[in-house]
Amino acid sequence: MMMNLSKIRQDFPILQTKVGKNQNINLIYLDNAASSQKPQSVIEAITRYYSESNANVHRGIHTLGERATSLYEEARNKVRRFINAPNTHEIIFTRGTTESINLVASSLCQTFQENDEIIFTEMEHHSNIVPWFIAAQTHRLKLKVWHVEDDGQLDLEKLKSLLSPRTKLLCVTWMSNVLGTINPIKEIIRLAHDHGTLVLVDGAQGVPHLATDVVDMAVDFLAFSSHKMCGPMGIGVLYGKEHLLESMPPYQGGGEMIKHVRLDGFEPNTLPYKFEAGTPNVEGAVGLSAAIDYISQIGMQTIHQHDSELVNKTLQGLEELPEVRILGPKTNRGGLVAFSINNIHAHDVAAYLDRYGVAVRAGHHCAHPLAQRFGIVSSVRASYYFYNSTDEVEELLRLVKKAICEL
Amino acid sequence: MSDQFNELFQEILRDHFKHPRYRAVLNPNLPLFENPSCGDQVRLQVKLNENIIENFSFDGSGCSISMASADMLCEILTGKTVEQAFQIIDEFLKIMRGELETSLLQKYGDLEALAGVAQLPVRVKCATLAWNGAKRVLELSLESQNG
Repeated sequence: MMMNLSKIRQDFPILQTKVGKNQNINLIYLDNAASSQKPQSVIEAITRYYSESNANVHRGIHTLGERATSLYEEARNKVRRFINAPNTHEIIFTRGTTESINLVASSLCQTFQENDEIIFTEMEHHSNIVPWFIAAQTHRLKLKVWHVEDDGQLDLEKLKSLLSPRTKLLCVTWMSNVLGTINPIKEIIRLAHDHGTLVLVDGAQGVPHLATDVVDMAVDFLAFSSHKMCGPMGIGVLYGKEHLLESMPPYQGGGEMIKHVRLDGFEPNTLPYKFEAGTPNVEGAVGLSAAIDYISQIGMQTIHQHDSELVNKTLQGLEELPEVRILGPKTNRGGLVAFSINNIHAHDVAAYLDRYGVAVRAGHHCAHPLAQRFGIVSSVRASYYFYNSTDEVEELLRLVKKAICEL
Repeated sequence: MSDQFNELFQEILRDHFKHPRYRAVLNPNLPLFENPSCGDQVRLQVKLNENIIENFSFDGSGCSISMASADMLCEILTGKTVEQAFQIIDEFLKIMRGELETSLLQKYGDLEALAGVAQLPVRVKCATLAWNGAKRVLELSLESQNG
């Protein structure tokens, strides 16, 4: 399907915003790997929820309580279909990818034995590293690191040598938020499963940009966030295989997650509620549901093709500049490019670009070990989504050249 | 933010960044102060003569704001007494936290160029890196003098 870019851009009110000193520069938003913008349909769905249906869920026996509950559960079912999960109760709503990973680290690791092993890769975001440090400390587990190759990719042979009978879990990102690498996730999962190891996939960057099928991937746990896929902040998803979620102890205690409470104990609720203590983010679920409708109608294949077109154009342009060092592989990459410029600090580049209305990320992108691995302090990252245009890429390239001359 | 940006990139900042007066190659064993979020790093050395700061110098890497700020810090604190230095550092940090008016920077010459940064929460930590470091370095020198 071909995209009608100008029509799509009109669906996003923020893309019409003017920025700059005189409020007359068009915004060029290239920080989508940090957070995406929201279409009018998502904004309206949230407003409509508060105007027509707001009440607590699974509690009030009244019209609004029923409306809110059915919207919340419809959203769960929408997510299930979007990632092709077999069961709706395998979809746990969380605050985001970070909480989804922390949930698994805190709950699943209680079922591990001392000296059991967890592997994570060197290209993980801090949110897929630090929870494992904490769990390892608490439960006396061993952590192993799967290092990244010079070309920004993972070598499956290295994984083979890391997997042992004690390896209980492998934690790997689908798509790197710095290198842009799209990992061969099916092969990785198959290899881990051959060794009896479970796999948790960080889908924060992958799910918004690639067609997701958890059955085809055979993934055990998949974590992702709403706000990087046109939905609101503050809500995300943990998908987990039913038998695994069943075997795991509750994460947080509170309302909703219990079946019975006595003064000497409690009985946890069934899935998915066992992992959803407290009043949930219904507004977030409603917004995420509208976001899934929006991006599904564009099509995940189309989104990926569009990403590739913009990234290839960016890579071609940057490769011509001898002062620029591009991070990550030449192929197998998603919609982002991180780069550094000789003798110019990334913050200065980002501040310069901002002057011309271009929003990019500068820093280490929450991946200190990776920055150390490639010997760079910080980099500039342009990250795209389906509403970005080739004209915007050209403007970025023009400004990067200008920055090299002027800074 | 681009109106503030213009202020930020006044020639003064650019000049201190490109042509620092107080940058020196310092002993790598001196304490290193870092902004983990952006990777900026600075080392500082103070030479005291009794209670007077004979010289402040810095070494490090980072964005133009963090390095220009370090250079200006050294310029301003050189020749001051330790008490004056603590007072100036505290005042500067309060201005950057928004607890005092930026107009107070006027009395410190070039430092006024950082007034715009106080309005940019993301960049405040760049401007304050060397100042937090200098406070610590002065405390350590006093401890070693007294110890």
